[in-house]
Amino acid sequence: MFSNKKRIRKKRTSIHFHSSKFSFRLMASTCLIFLIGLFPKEILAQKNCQFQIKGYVIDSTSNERLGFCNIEIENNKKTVFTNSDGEFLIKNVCPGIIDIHVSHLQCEHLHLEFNLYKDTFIIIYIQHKDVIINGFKLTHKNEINNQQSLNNKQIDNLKGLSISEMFGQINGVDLLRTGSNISKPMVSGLHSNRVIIINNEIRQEGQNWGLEHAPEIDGNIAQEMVLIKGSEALRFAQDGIGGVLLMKPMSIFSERAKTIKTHLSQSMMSNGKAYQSSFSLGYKISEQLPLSFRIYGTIGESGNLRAPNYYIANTGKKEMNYAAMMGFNKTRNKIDLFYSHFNNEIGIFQGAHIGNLTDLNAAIKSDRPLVNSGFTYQINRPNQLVEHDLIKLKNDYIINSKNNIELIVSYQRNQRSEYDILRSNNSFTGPGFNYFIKTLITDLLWSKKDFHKLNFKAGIFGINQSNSFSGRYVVPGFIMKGGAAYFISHLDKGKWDFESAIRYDYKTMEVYLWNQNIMTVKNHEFNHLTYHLQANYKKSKAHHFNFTTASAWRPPSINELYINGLHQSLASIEIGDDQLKPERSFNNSIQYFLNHRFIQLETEVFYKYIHQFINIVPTATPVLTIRGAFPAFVYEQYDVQMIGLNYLLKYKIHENFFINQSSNWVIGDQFKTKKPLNQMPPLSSKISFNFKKKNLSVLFELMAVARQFRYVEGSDLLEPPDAFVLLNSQIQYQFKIKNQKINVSLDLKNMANQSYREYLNRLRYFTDEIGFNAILRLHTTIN
Amino acid sequence: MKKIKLSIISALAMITFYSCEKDPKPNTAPTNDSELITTIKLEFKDSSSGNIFKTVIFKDIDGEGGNAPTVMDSIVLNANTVYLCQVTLLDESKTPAENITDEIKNEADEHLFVYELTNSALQIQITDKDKNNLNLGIESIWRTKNVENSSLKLTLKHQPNGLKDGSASKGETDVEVNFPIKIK
Repeated sequence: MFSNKKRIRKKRTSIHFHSSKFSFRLMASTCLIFLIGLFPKEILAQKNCQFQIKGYVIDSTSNERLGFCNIEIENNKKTVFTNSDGEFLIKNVCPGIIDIHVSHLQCEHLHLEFNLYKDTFIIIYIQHKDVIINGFKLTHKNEINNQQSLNNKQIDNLKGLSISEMFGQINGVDLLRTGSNISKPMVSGLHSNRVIIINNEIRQEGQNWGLEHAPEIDGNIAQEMVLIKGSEALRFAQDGIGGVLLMKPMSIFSERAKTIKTHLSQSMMSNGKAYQSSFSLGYKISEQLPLSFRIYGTIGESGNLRAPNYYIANTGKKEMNYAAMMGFNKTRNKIDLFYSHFNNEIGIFQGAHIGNLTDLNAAIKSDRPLVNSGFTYQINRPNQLVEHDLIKLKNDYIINSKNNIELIVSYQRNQRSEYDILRSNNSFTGPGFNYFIKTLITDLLWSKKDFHKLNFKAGIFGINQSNSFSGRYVVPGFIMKGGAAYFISHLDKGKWDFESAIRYDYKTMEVYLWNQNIMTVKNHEFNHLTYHLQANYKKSKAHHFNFTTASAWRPPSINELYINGLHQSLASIEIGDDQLKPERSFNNSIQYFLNHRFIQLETEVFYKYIHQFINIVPTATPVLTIRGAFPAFVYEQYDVQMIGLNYLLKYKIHENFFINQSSNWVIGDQFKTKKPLNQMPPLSSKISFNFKKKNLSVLFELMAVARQFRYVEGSDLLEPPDAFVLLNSQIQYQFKIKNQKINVSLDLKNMANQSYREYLNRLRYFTDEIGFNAILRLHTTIN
Repeated sequence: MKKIKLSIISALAMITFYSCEKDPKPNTAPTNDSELITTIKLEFKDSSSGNIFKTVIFKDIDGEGGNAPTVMDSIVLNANTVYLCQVTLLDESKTPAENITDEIKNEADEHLFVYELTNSALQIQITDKDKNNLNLGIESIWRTKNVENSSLKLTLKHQPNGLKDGSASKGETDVEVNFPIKIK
């Protein structure tokens, strides 16, 4: 049904009253539902609570009556659905101010407020919504959720975790860890510069290259988190070789007029004695002055984490984040302004801070960390202090029913200060080095629909970035400028629909290198084409297939080109290579979705070929320094191939009981030599037993991770750790106090308090993972 | 369209506001922190005459990583002689060069120089102690025997927070240099 795929828009046309003694207000959210006509008709004046509201709902585009719309009177909790002819009837309504809530699949909601004093007949015109991030998919009828994503409810049950750990809950996303309190998301075995994170429609730009540089985003703002699979990913990035992850906050346009909406959440963890509190407060002035505001705040602290047999020294964390949003929504124009500030101080495990190769070998040999610790909230050196500011201005302008323009301008500043262990107590107290990276991004997008049965989006994208540092040299300062043009289209042919995206990028980089007080300027220039072609086949209501072939490219990053320095945490010296060429990936995948009454299945198989894959490899001879010998690593390029499988199976045994089972497996090889790639996620599998009845849900989960047997022998300091199985569970209960919803959940992680090490934790050489952890969460929404 | 213009203007205003920050420019030169040890100097005095016999240097001017060490001397000593040796650590990336040895003397109870020889061609004995009467190792006596080659691994261990107990294996390595030794 092509015709009902429309862009977000809201139109207000004249409203007709037969007896115009009452008024109603349109309190729409970002939703497409809009109301263009209201025809109250006097039927019969009746006694108290004897009135009825009757009417029907029409799809404004196709002019068809719309069934299965949910219509609810908020004051007295009456809910009806429209029948297949779009008609509805609500009986026995009391007079007075009536607040009607209209919703339909894929829509947020529409509120109608009016004074009811007689029987009333209304016609509601609504329009379907096209959710930007999910491309054109969400508007299909017979919708199957074929996005690997987390929704609002799932996110509420993850509060208190870092943004990476939240992303890690999406099937197909692994975590690359540095100790227990720093992690980065990993998609198809790739990470850092190969996994792009979109924070509220903006590419997150920090020192992304560092393995111990976690994404600087407050997860408490998130309402939706997605691993983008469709062509829409190309709007944001050409270099998502691993994947593109997206975090979306709640739309500012979902605020209701003259209502203060408050969210409060509180989480506490037994391990690390961590607590985190966050709130959000939203308000819209009125329908006449459609100006909305929302503020967010998060504060949290965690102390040293504990492995089953010991505390892990210096693994505390402190955070304080806040954000503010403002939205203005007039008939054709939507303006929103977003600002967020992120501030984290993170301790780095002390036992991994190594003087030289001799120390490293001693630390690895020991079963227990060589640095002992008790519990403390205090963070000592080595540690990192990270600040990230994002300011975004978006203007969404509806030209007419088929054309729409969006302009997004954003500015980010990221400051990362790294504090090494000091040689002496009385020498200086500042950080070893400070990075500052500032990014200005402009994105102009034109969306057009129904152009010869084609919906398309065309856009231009500009980026200007400056990187500087103070202190010790690790990577040089640079100025990067880039521009891109993209075209994303969607064509619907009944059971088949086709998505395609093409993007061209041009990028220049001016790098400032210093050697003994002499500066040299190096220039780099990159340009390439990216494409994404996808065919989606809806065989029936139950079976969906997606076939994708896509290509992405990535210029070598600043560290790959110019890093020269010591990585204290692994006692290794990394040396960049300014002759590296861009890498280019070719990805082919098939996704299959089954939606049966009892069984739901999401599967994906992919084959990725990456040309000139940039990889870090050890050199034969160590580097000699005044601190002794250090193993040295350089960058090499070769072709690699990767094959992967993800699936998630939901099996409904009983109305209240279902089983989820999921597995992820990816293997990567050098194409010519067939040598395995190191640091690929090992095979992992999860099974959970879920019980749900009314407001109570209980989950019991078994997670098994195999030993990674695919690695180049002798290439690692220590062999991959053994396989392990973890037991987790969650109990969740929802109740109401004075009409306010309260959600309580208790998570029990690693219930058996088992000692284990993860292959993808870079500090696995030194310490076990954390032991038993109980997480208590409280979440409430106050209207 | 007015509104688009308006938003562009406010965006630009935002950016101007932000670019006023005092962050360093991308072409700012690196500065080495005061944590650097660039040079290790061994000064040998003839024990009988008290004259300086020789100064042996290892120099890595930009610390770990970056460029390779620039000076890597060998220790050349006479057979059957007794020498007094004094270690000096410098940070020569600064002008004037900073003497790190003083700092180590001040924190003597947290530092230890470890002398490891590959054979018994000579004998090295630490002569200075910290306040807990544990070895420090800035000063030492060297006794050579016959004509023979050897090699010294000289390590400076940082052993803070009560780690120092005379053991050489504890703590973090601040300096580790190998000197070839020739005894004529």
